[in-house]
Amino acid sequence: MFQMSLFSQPTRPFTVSEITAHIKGLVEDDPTLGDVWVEGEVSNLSRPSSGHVYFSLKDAGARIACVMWRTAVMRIARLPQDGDRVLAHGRIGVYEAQGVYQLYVEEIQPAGLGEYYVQLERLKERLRAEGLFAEERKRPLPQFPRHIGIVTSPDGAALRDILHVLRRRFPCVAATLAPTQVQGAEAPDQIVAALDALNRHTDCDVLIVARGGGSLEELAAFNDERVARAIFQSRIPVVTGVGHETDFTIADLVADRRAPTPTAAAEIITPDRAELTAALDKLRARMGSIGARRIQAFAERLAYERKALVRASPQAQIVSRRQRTDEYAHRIALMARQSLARQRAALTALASRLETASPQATLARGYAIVSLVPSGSVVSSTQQVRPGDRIRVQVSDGRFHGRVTDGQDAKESETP
Amino acid sequence: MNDMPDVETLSFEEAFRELEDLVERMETGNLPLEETIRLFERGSLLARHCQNLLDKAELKLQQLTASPDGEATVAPFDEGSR
Repeated sequence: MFQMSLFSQPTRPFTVSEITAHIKGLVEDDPTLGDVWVEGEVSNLSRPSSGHVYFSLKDAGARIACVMWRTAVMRIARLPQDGDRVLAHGRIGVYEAQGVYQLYVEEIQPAGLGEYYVQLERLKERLRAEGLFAEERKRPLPQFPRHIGIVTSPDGAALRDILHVLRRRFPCVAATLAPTQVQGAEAPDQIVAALDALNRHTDCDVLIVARGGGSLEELAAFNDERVARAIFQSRIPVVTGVGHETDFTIADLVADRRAPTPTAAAEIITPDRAELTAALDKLRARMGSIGARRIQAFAERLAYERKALVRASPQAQIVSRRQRTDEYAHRIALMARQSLARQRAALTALASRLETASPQATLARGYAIVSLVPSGSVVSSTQQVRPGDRIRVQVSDGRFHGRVTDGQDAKESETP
Repeated sequence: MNDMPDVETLSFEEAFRELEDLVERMETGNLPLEETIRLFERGSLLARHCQNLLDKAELKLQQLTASPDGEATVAPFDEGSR
């Protein structure tokens, strides 16, 4: 009664694991199933404490189990609810333990945008293949911008945010606004024209293309192919600041740098005032310490020269050298006024050394200046005087008169 | 000194870069005192100019409007009216 077919008699039965692995292989090696968009209605959505999300997608005739891992869940703006019509992107895989196939969802969008979203993905792939997003073509931004071009709405919060950041961080910059609409049918052409005008008519060294946050439809201009190509062709580096957090617009992908908001875009292109002030202070301090060191070395040299000067002694030479040292001292004084108590101290030391180099100090050590009366010429040789000549002798605290008593070898004078 | 442009006319970047170079030169070169003083004087001016640009500069804002024939006009941008 129970007859076994000879043909169906297995030489060896599969284990459940083996047959499941075989099915898994069939499903997961299939190129179509590896990358699919599926549209349907969400049901039985649950989110256990693991953070992964489980649900089904269904239509009138069928149902498919879906899993969204926690990492993918974190990337989406809003979790769908039961009853939502959605478009889910992912791959079909087999979960052996339960014997089910399911859709492993990577991203999920409201279904109304389904067609647009798919087009967008195609455009993205096409532009990527053309090299518009290539890392190699991304240009560095200037470290200190001089002139920033801003493409955004003149009435939006984006412009206010950008200007606020520029004033706070780096106010010594020029900014040129090329006003455009940032949504609606006119927006893409206006943005293209603004980028072109800034490239052709200004000396801007960086451009910001910005807009506040919005839905996918509101951000359509920033996913427009014309805008993407205009950014690509811009001679000046472009930074995007289009307010949205979960997804990149095509403009972001083409831009040299991408920021998540207009504020962040303005921050990326400007150095920070506080950091620059600290850097300036550091340069000043380095400069000051070199200056102080050099003055110290100069003071030492001056002391050395003073000794040589005292030995050589002629007054005219003292004066001329003193003039030169005065000149140095004057310039150093200028410098010292500009900063640093340290330098002021060095200057004080210098002044006291100059004082000791004056003829007054020489007189104080017991030297005297002898001059003839009434001609006033200074006597520096025995040849200049004859016995009987009247002379004036200047010492440190005043002068007195005398008369020469002997001839050329005369060495004394007597008071009148 | 005469061949150096007036500090006040320099952009932040020009002044900052010159200051960096100058300090570098003061530190590495064994310069005569006169030269050191000259560099110090200029460096002080450069540093002050940079700080003024950061603290006192007013953002210069203008508006560029392109007409369809490729002409462009630049006008002041009045934030107050918005």
